Amino acid sequence: MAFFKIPNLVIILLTTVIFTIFAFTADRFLTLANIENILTGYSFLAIIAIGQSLTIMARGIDLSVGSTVALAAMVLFDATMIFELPGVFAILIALVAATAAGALNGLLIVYLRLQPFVATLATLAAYRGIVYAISGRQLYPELPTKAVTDPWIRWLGDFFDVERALGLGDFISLPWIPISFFILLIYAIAIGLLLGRTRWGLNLRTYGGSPEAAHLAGLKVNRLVISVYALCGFSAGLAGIILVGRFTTATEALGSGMELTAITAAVIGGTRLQGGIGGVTGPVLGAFLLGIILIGLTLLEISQFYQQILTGGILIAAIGYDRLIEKRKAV
Amino acid sequence: MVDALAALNISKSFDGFIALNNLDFTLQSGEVRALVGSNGAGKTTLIKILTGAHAPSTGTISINGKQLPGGDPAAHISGGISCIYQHTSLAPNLTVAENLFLGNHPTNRFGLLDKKEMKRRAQQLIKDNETDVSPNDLVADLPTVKQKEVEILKALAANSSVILMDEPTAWLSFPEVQRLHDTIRRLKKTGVTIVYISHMMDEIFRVCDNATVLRDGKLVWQGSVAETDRSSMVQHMLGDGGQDTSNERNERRNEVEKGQKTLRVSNLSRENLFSEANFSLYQGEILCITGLIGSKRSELLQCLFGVAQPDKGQIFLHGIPQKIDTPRLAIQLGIGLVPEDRRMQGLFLSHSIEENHVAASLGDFVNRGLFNRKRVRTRAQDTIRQLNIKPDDVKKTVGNLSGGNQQKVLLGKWLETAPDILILDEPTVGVDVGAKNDIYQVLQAFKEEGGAVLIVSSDVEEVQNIADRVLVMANGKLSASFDAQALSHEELVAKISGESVNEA
Repeated sequence: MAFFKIPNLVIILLTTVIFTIFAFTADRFLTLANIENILTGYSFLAIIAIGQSLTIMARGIDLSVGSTVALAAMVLFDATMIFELPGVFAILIALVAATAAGALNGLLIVYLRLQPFVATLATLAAYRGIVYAISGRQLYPELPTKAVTDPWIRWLGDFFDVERALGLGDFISLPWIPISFFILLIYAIAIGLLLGRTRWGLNLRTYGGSPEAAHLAGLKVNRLVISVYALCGFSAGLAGIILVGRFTTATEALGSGMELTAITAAVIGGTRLQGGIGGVTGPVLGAFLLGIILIGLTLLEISQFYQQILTGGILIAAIGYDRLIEKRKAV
Repeated sequence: MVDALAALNISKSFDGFIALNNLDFTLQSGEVRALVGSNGAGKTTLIKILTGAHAPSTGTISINGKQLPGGDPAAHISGGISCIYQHTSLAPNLTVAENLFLGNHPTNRFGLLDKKEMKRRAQQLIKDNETDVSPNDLVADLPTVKQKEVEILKALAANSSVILMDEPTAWLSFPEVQRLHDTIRRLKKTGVTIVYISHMMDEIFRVCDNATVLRDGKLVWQGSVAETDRSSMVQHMLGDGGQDTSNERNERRNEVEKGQKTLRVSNLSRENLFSEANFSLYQGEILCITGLIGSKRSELLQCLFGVAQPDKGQIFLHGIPQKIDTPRLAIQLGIGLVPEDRRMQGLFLSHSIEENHVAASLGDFVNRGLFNRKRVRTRAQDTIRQLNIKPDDVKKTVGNLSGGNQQKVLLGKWLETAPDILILDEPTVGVDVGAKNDIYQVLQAFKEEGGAVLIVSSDVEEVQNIADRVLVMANGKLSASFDAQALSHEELVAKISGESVNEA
């Protein structure tokens, strides 16, 4: 995995430098509460970014992840609040819905031969429409003000007290780690194994590097592409249920615009837009780097609007850097 | 003895067009067989059928007596046929070891990739075949010849007994070609059967045992290369032509060299493609550049039309040196280029005849910022009549026309720009005889009105038919020009195939 080393090294250095700068310039940056904030606010995003990087590795993109987040969240909300299903089942149904949404993207791309950009732009709108249509908050006037109470779902938004678990509460003060961060760790390891240690992962990298080569080697390319988008949908679904746990409700506008952040995180994490090159650590680091920058700027009281400009700027810079390396290689 | 590869009674047609006609293609174990033929002869179709990319319309394919299903790439690979394509079919972002076992990676008992085993097997294969690569090398970092060697190893890793090589030396330098040939000879000793597809006569005579020549989807000659020579091989490829040298045409040609020099090319070179190209093009003549495919003629044309830039040398138009750096400028300077691939480079297939017709001269149809559709229609209708385009309806979508009519639309588009110099790259490939004649007539008329025509053509018959003067290009080098009529068909063929013609 020689090619993972260099982009990750750059991003680790960059993260360290930016973290240090904020630690000195922003007052409340180096506090436990803020570290908790970054972990809570960006673990779920890292999960989406992992899924996104898979589609980018397959020479595609998934613009519908934001809507899929909302879809999973709303399905979960409905299942637990309207149908009063036990949390485990509700979570399962929500994840299935998100995976199906992803698989549908894959089917559109493979069988209707749509450009991934076009197919997922269409489903971005369509899935968001479904969210509004099935929203329990619209259908039942009493629901918007009610909070989700199911312990399973609440647990997703919970924190883990490291000090108490270690019995060190009296001696040192450590941040409380959100459960979502642990979910991210487990998920990253699982996808990492899938990418690095299975035929599926190698086939994905082959396809991304040369679809022609994959086809000529007799790989089942269609199935591969559909599975990649299904997994991306699943990732967005995972993020969606985590957000329900955190907010104890689901809103119709949840996750809108999140595709941009996820793509940015994947790309600054070294996922190459031309396909074939990417991994798990990159997008995760990318997501947290983005988190550190955006939260740091908030603490410096720089407005939300500038932050959006900055996110776009970072994406352009990351792609520009990628191209620069490509160019230098080609010479 | 069972044939290593037996493809019997193979036919293939696409929408009524017969690409292969009842072909038998059998090979012995350890044989190196050349497969030759000009464009459209059916080589590509045969390769695709052998690799399982296409299913044959009729016929069977068997390896060592075992029949393959046809039309199933994975089954053909596991059945023992591999193909090394002209363009690499390796994934550049993977390592050598990962590429060697594409689609068939070793796994351990948990279903996870067994990277150790993969590396060990790769190492063994590299050692057995004396290849100078490491299993951990990234394919993108390897030079082209090593990539070819990795592809051969990949074929061996799949236990292939038959390896097809499609123009394997197209991107290789001379010493690299030697290396590849050494590899082929070594494989031959181990009983691997090789089909060597190439336009390079030199290479065929150096490395192949036997040759099969295809023309128009039929087998026209098969035999040992030791018992034939280049000229007769090329003759088989190109067919009999040039016999109908009519006197009338001879008379028409005697105007040559009386017109003015419109284009002069001096020492034009592009690295690794062509070098030191020198020639002049006169008003009122048709100059043909002929040669085998891969002799870099199209690349030369691209420099004349501003698609690519030469490294060295100059282009003079009417005696003035010009730096043509964009096609737009070339058009302004009065040059038109009818490219080789009309579907990809020449036409807007989903647009109508009239829209295609004016695509290169839109400016002429705009009046005070508004587009004069009526004039477009009249002009397109004129051209349809002049070029005998069928159907004669300006609204017809170009993609649905036959090859010949598409070519006429393309030609009409460039005539509409009223060029001084018309450049055509393989103007009649895939064009039927009737349309061919129409095109020749239009070119003659253009020339008689004082236009200069430069044609790249691999079709000897065509060259003899229409050229006033001929240049031969071989491996990026141009010969001196000679009068097409002064040469017999055989002499021209001999020049193309790279033999020096005897004075006698």
